[in-house]
Amino acid sequence: MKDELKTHIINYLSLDDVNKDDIKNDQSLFGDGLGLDSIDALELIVMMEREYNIKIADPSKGKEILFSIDTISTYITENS
Amino acid sequence: MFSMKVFAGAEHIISPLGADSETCYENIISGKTGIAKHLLGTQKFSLAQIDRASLQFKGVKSFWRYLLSRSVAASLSKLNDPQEDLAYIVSSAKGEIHHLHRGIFGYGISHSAKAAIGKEKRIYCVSNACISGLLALNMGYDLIQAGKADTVVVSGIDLISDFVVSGFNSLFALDPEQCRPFDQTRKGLNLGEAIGTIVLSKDATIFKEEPVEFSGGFSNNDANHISGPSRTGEGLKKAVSRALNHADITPDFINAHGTGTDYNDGMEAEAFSALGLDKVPLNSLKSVFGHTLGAAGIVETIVSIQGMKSGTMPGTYALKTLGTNKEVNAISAAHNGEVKSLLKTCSGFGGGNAAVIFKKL
Amino acid sequence: MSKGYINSAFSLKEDCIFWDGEIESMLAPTKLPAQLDAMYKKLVKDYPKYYRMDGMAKLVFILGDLLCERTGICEKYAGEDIAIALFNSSGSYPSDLIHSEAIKEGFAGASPSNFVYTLPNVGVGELCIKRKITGETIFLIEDNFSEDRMSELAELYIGQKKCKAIIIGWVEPTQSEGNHLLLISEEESGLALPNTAENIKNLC
Repeated sequence: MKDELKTHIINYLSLDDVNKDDIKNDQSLFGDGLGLDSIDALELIVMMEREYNIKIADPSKGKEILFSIDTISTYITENS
Repeated sequence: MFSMKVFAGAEHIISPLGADSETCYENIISGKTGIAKHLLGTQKFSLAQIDRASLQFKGVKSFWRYLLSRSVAASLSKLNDPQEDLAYIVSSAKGEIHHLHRGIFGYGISHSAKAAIGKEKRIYCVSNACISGLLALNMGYDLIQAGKADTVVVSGIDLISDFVVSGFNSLFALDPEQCRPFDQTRKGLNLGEAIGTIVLSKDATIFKEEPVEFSGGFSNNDANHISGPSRTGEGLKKAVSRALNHADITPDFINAHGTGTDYNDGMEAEAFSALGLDKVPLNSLKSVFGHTLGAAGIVETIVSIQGMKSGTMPGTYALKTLGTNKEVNAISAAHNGEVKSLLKTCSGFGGGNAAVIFKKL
Repeated sequence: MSKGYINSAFSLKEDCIFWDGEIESMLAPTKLPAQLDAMYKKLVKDYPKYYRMDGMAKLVFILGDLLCERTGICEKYAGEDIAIALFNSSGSYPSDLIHSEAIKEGFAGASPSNFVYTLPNVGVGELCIKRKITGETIFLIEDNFSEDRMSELAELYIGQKKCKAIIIGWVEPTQSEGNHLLLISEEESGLALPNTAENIKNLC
């Protein structure tokens, strides 16, 4: 699933210059990590809903959930 | 330079609170809001929507064009003689977005504005997100100062659409209830629709009623983020201090942008506080008009001018407890007392911040 | 009162890049987005955010960044002394279409990262971020390319001391073969052309 997640992230955010191998499972996706920002976080919330049928109603919780590939996949497993 | 005085008057508004500026102002002072729940798509949203039926709008024409031509005509009727060689500036973030399906031919705010005001007229169109209205006022001022126009008619207009509501909804920027600018429980903004028109002129005698003085304004970009303001309000601080220096005043009152979102209101409080304006009474009109995007700068300026003239500034009605990190003097109830000088600000997507100053004559 | 001087111009038309009115290089005769991507890979390189921009923002970003690079304008002036005023006729039409299609089946179809580009001035914001430009910024809509309005605006901003230098441009991403132009007008003359409508027209 983590591999699939990386594909979705790259597609949804048009990260044309990023390879799946560039994204480490425990690396922060935001700030100093992959460098995503607040709009990207909202786009990932859309991705979670469309691809995994998981709603994140409160975007302020999004920060913890979307921190890394590991945290996203844990959340998907726990909520699907 | 900047020696010439510029006057502003003949103002007019159509909003959910009334079809002229006086009615809108009186309704606001009496505590009414334009915000109500409306079904859009499959969801209910708190929006400030104009009742088309109350305007006898039949729906055959474009509502956008109808409002623009009606508001411009209403403003011009408040001038003494028919004015020649007028310049027009129309400010709109999304123009006739309802008619996107018509295709690229004839799409664009300039085309729409010419259809409403007249093909042969000299019309400028500003489309710069939420600060469009104040940029349009500034441009009118600059045209007069540079001797390129004597009288400029400035309108700001935006309508509610599925397009805009679904977009702000996807940004989690909307408060499902009435928005609460500067309040500790604030959760987001409400969208609104309105048109405002105001006439700027170097000649005070063209106005039937006494105008106010427009001392111009400035804008600065945050260069920080395309959809969020600089947390410390860098651009807003610069724009406000340039405007205050140019007008050579300390304002008696601030009509802030105050959208009701966490970041915007927090950023504004940072900026006003850093500039030593934390004791100046301040309001936001977003809890009555909603965020009217390209109309916001003009419509809110007009209500503030009405307040200056009558001696009562509207409060920020949904505000109960101040909830910004930096303290500002955001007032919840109406403010009585003479306001000789007014600072109006807006900030928006694309990093823009703008400030304008008006003085009572 | 100074009307300003046109000190540098960069344009893209008929698959060619022009500097100060002279052809500098040819681009592969593909669509505009592909041409911009090629310019990005060759000339800008290290700005991954580029790929997430819409067509308009890419156009403003590439032309603007190269103009700043070539002229050194951001080193010459403080960020707050540089203004940007761009014009087009269709606003953010291509991104408007994408958002409008996305919500046809319901609001849940909206993409937040596309929606932010449904404002024509957002590309200007991208250029400001890259180049730390913090002066006046404005986006105006005209029916057609208007050298008169472009020249007038540069004159207003420079004459009214709103900036020391201004990037003025026409950017219309709906026209693949159209003329996209960005130029710098300054208070001071360099090797410059006076800021007149005719000179702007000749550069495009």
